[in-house]
Amino acid sequence: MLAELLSVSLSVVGSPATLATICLATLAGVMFGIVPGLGGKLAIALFIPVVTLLEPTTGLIFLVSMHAVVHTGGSIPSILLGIPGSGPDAATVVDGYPMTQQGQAGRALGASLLASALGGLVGALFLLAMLPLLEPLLLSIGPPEFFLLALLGITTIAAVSGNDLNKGIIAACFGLALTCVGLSPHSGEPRYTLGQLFLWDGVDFVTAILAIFVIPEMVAAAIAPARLEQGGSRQLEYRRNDLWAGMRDVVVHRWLALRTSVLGALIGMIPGLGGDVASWVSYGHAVQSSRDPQRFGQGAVEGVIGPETANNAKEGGALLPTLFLGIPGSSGMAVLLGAFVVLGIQPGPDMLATQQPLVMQLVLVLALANVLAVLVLLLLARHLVNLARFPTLILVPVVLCLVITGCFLSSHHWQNLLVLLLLGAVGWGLKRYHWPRPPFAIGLALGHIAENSLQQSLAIWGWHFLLRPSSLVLLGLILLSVASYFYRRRKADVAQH
Amino acid sequence: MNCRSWPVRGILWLCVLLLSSPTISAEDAAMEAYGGKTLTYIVPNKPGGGYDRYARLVAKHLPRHLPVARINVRNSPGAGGLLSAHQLYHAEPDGLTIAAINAGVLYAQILGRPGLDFDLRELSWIGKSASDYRVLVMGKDSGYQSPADLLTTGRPILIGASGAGSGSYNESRLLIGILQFNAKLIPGFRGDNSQLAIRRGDIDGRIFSYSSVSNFVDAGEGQIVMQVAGAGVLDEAVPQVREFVSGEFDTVVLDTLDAVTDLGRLSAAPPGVSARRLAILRQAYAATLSDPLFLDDAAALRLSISPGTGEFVEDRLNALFAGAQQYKQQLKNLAGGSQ
Repeated sequence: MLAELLSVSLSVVGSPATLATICLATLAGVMFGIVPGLGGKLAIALFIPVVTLLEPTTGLIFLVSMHAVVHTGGSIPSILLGIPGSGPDAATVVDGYPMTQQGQAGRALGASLLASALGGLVGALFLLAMLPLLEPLLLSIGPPEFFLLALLGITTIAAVSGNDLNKGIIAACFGLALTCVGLSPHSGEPRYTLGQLFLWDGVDFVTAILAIFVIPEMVAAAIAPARLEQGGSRQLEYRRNDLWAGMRDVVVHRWLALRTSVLGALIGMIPGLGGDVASWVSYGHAVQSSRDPQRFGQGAVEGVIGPETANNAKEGGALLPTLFLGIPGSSGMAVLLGAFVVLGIQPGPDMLATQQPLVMQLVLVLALANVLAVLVLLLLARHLVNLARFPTLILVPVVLCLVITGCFLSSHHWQNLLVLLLLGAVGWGLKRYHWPRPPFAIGLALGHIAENSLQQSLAIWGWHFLLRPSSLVLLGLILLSVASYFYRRRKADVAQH
Repeated sequence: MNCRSWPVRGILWLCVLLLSSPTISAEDAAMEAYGGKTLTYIVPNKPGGGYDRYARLVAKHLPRHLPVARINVRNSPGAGGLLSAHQLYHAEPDGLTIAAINAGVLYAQILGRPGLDFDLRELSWIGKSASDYRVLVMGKDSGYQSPADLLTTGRPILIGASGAGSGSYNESRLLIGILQFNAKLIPGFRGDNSQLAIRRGDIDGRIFSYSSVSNFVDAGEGQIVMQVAGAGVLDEAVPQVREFVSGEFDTVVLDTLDAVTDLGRLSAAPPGVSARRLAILRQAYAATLSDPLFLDDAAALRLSISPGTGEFVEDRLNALFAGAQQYKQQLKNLAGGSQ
C-alpha cells in the first residue's frame, strides 16, 4: 500500500493537469466556504454538470478537493466577522471572533489555518489507516451507541458553561427543546409548528446559530461602536508576527490538535452524526481538557484550534463509509456519492481491491488540497484581516446582510427570517445577561440524534439496550466526563480559597 | 334574407375574412406564450437531491422544445414536498411556473394527512419522467428468506422505514396491514443507513426502490422476498405481493401502491392554466423526454427515464384518488396516525 501511495504521489505531482485541477478546486472550495450559506453541498451540486465533461478520475479529484477545504474558507468569516460560513464553522465563532475583537485577528487566523491543514492531513491518514477496521467498526455502532454518543457530547455542556453550570444546563435544554419543533420522527405528528409548513422540518440549524451568535454581537457593536475602535487601528493592524504566533499556538497545543483531529475524523466516519457534532464535541473537549477553562468564550486560541482541526479531519472520516460502503458519511457526502455514480465510479467494498490507485489518489488529494488552501489563505491573510478593520457603521449592516443571505440560502424559505429575528432577540438576551451560548448550540446539534436513536433503541431492545457491552463502555465514559468536571471544579474552588 | 342589404353584406364579408385568415401554428402559439420569458421550475428538495437532478436535466434540454429565454430551477425543500406543492398551487396560472411533485404529497392526499390544503386533481399535470419497482428486502441473516417465513413467524419482524409519514413509512404500514404478518415498524432509518442497519441486525428488512438496493442484493447482503409495487413484473422468480392477498380493500391498497410507484418524478403547473398553454407544456415536456440528447445525458447521469404524458398522469391520478377516496378512513387507519 505504501509503495502504491508513493507511486501515485509521483504521478499526481508530475501531472500539471492534475495539479491544476486540485488548485482550481481548492480555490472554488475556499470561496464557497467563505460566503456564508453556500457550503460544500451546493458547491458539489453546482459542479456536477461541469465535472461530467471531464475524465472521471479528474472529476472526482476536483470534487473531493473542493469539498475538503470548504471549512478552511468558512473559518474566515467566522473569525473576522463572527459569521459562520456553515453550521460546522459556528464553534469557531465562540472564541475566534472575540480574538478579533481583542485585536488578535491575525493570531486567530494563523491558528485556524494551520489547524485546518493539520486536521485535513490527519483526516487523510485516518482514511488510510482505518480501511481494514471500517466495516467491523461501523457494524458495531447502532442506535444505542448513537444515543450514548450524543449523551456524551451533551455532557460537554458542563465544560462550556463557564462559571454557572445551571445557566449552561438551561441554555442546553433550550437548544434541546428547539429540536422538538417539527414532525415527530416516530409518529409523524407536527409538534410546535404553529400550523406553519416551513417548521415541519424543524428549526434550521444555521438560522439558529446565526441568530444566537452573530445577531447579538452586531447589536452590541451597533449600541457601543466606540468600544470596538477604542483600541485604535493599531490593534487591528495586520502583523505577520501575529500569523506566526497563531501557528505556533497550534504547535504548542499539538496534542490537543491531534486529539480533536482524530475525534473529528471518528465522528465524520459515523453516518448520521454530521459535521456540526464533530466541531462542537471537539470544542467541548478543548474546554474540558484545558487547565483554565474560564478563558473559553473570551478569546482562547484552543477554542479555535479544536473545532478547526475537527472540521477538516471529518472529511477524511466521512469518505470512508461513502467510498467503501456506498453509505454517505454526511449530508455533503450524500451529494458527493451521487456525483461518484454519475462519474461512473461505483463506491462499495470492492473499491480497495479493484481501484486501489484511485483510492490512494484521493488520500493524496485530500492532503494536498488542505495544504494548498492554507497556502492561498496565508498569502491573502493581510488583505483578509482588513475585513475586521471596517468601521462599525459599515461592518454591522454588511454583516447583517450576509446573515440574512446565509439564513435564506441555508433554509430556502423567507419565513426563516422571522425565526432569525425571534432567536436573535433571545441570543441578545443571553449575551446581555451573561448566559453561556455554546451549550445551546450543543443541545441543538445533538437533540435530533439523541431523540431519534433513543426511540429506535427502545423500539428494538427496550431498556435492555443499556446493558450492551458497548453501551456500558459509553455509560462509563459519560460518568467519567461528568465526574471529571466536578473534580476540576472542586480543585479550582479549593485553589481559589 | 336580402343579400343586398348593407348589414347582411357586412356580415358576409366578415365571414369571408375570418375564414381566409391563416390559423395560428403551434410554434407561434408557443412563441406567443413563452417567447423571451422565464419559466420557474420548483423542486421539493435541496440541490443535489434526486428531484433536483431530474429537474436540472429537464431544464437543460427543455428550451429546445419550448421557446423560453431561461429556466430558473428553484429549490424549495421542506415538509416532505408539501411546501413546494403549496407554492405551485398559489402561483399565477400563466404557465410560467411548474413544479416537481413527490410521492409523499400523493400519500398526504390519499391518507388525509395534515398539511395539504387543496386537491391535487386541481393541478395541471404535465407529465412524469420515471418509475421504479418497490421491493421488500430482508437481511441474509434475518431468517426470513421467503413470504412464507414472514407469514408464519412467531416473533415480531422488525421492518425499517424513513421518518413517520414518509413514502416508505406509509407503504410499510399499508403492506403490514394487508398481509397481517407479525411485524413492528421502526421509523428513522433512511434508505442509505437502512442497509447498514440490516447488516448489523438492528432491523430485519425494509421496502426499497429496486434501483437503490440492487447492489446490496447482488452483494449477497440481502434478498428480495417479494415485489411490493411497480408497473410490470421485476423478475418472474420474485413473488408478487398480490399472490398473498385477496379481498377488495387489499386490492385497492395494492393498486394505490402500484399507482404511486408508477407515477415517479411528476411535474405539474398551477390550477387554472389555460388549455392551450397546458397543451404547449405537455408537448414540450414529452418532446424533451424523448429527445436523444436528453436521453444521452440521463444515461450519463445514471437517471432512469420512464416517461408518461400529462393525460396519462391525469387519468392515473383520478383513478387513484377515486379508488382511495372510497376507503379513505380504512387506509388512514391502516397507515396509522390520528389526524
